[in-house]
Amino acid sequence: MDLNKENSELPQPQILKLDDDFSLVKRFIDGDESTFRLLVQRHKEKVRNIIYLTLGDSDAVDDIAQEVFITVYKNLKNFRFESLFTTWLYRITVNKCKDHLRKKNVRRIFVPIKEASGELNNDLITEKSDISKIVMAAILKLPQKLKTPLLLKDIEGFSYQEIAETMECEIGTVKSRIFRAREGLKKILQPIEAELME
Amino acid sequence: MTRKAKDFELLSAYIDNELSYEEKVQLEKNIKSSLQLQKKLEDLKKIKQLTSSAYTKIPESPYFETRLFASLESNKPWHKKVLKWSPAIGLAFTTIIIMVVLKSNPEIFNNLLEQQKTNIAGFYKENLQPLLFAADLNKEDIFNFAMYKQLPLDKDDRQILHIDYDKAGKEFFEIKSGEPKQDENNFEKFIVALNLDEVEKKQIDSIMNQYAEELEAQVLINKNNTVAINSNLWNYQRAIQRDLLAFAEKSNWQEFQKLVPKTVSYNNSRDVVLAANEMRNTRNKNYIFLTTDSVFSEPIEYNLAEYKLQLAELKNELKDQNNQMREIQFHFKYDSAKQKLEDKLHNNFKIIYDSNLCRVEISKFDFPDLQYPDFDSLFTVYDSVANNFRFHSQYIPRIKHFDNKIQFHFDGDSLNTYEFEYYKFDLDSLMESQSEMMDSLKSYNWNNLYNFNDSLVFKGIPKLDSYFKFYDGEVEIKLEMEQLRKELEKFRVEMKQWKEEYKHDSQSKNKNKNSLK
Repeated sequence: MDLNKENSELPQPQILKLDDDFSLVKRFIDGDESTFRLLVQRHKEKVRNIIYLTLGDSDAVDDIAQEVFITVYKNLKNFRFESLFTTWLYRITVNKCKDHLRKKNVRRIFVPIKEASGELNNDLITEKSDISKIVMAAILKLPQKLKTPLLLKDIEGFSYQEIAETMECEIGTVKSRIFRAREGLKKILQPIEAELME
Repeated sequence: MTRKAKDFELLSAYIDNELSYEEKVQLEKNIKSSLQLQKKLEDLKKIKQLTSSAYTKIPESPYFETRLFASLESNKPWHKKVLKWSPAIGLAFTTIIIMVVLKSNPEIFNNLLEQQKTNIAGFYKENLQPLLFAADLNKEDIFNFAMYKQLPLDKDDRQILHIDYDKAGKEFFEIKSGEPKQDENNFEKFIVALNLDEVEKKQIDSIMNQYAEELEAQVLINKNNTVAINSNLWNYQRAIQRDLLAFAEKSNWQEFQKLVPKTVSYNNSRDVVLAANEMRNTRNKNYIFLTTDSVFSEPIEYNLAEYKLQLAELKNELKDQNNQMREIQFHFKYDSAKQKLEDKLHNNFKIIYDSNLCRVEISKFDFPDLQYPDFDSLFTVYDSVANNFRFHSQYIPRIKHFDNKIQFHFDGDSLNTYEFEYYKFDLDSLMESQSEMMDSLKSYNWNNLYNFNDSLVFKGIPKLDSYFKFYDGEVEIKLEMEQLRKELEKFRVEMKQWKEEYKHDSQSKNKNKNSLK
């Protein structure tokens, strides 16, 4: 009797949600391709935002996001369930952004040096535009490998572990890069520090 | 990395709450003891605050998914796409094949339809037999066919086949129920009316026999409820009619003149004979098939000679069975439910159906054409003569009187039941000109003609013109006289016999008397 009572008071096993990412991925692998649409609906905005933050270029966001999901679609059957689906997804997203920037850098060889300079554009400041925009512009001036972990941390709220997995690096590296990013940002924003501190 | 740089880095992780408990305790100790670290912590917090608040979300893209799935579709391997479109591709492929086949062989569908038609026709063509055998036609029937365009479909005259022309001159035929006609000896009356002598009787018999043989293959019937009518049958009717009347004219011109309408000038009968000969030479394989559910035309090669051979064998076989020759109990039934369908399917044939008859009107059909002079005028003349003769000889309608109308009914002919309402009609004039009126009826000379709902029975007021002349009861008198003559002859023979017997008897009596004496 006591045992039964004890059993009934035990927390009942939680029924697995069949629409969690893993279940959807598994169903996709099993041939139900309709689940892919659910995955897209669930994660597209996050992916688009990461791209936007990383590139600071809203025109390219959708094109790259499309590429991300096409890559996901093509490779989803090889997903090994060793990491979260989102980690895998964001890794692909970050890599796509890198590819994009690499191509852009190649193109940059052929544009005037002034445009490609790492200095914060003075026009931006003199126009006294919104502080957020100034800061965002400053962030975008950071090198890619510093910028991404900083944004993933401060804007997307990723943990260092998640960032490390996404960026395929050590947690220590993430820690170091985020610090260096903040240092770099401080340096970029130094000329207008007084205004920012107001 | 220096200790200071190491602590600065830890500060960054500290504000991100990413330090272990030990690291955190140690760092907080260091911060308390170092102004530089405190300053750096403030700077880093400020920067983190700035970056955290710097971001404005990118606006949603409403067509993102649509675009994505379109791209995915276009990136799919070709075989997957083919699989998805396989029904449409299959259809397109089939269409292309059909187009190619049709291009190379445009007649294929017609041939297929023709083939199918032949298959169906084959079913109905099975075991077709000449009507003459099935219905056991005699001279009387052929005479009636020639004069009144009617052939019995069975021996008991339960159904008759009637062929004719409508007002527009188009051929039609109908199958209608008939009643047994006991007292119609039209052929005999015809012979009597013309006062034919023995030689002439033999001549007309031979004419009838010749046509009877030729008519055999013109109407075929079988147990599958099929009637096949040779398109030459209409010509046969005209030819036999004209031949008979031409013979009548030749043998008794005076009597014949009484039958010919006054208003039509008529010369001689030679072209009739020519027409008949031409008709005989017109071989025609086209038969119009009337079956339970359809009407169609189809050429068939009916081998009469072969059939006769079979018939001869059959006769021998049946010899022991009281010569029972009637194999077919034919009674045509038409499925009226399919009438609408038929109207659509067979534009050339229009089927009119009521409880009493089934009429097939033939609007477009390539009838064998008879080419001889004055055909149309002759046609009118002979039909009039036939109608005249019909009325005067046998065509007496049954007359029923009702409170408000009088009804004339011709046996076995629903088309020939006529009603007249008294209040619209002068009864005296009706009775006076009854015979003219009947002929008027036959020539469809009507005012206010209309049909009953179900039947083709006409109802209306006839025009009382006297287009045709008639002569009263001469044929009946002649028939009676002939009967009387025969009886008198018989009586005379009997009397003669009796006389001789009497003579013989009296002689023997006399002998006996003498001997007694």
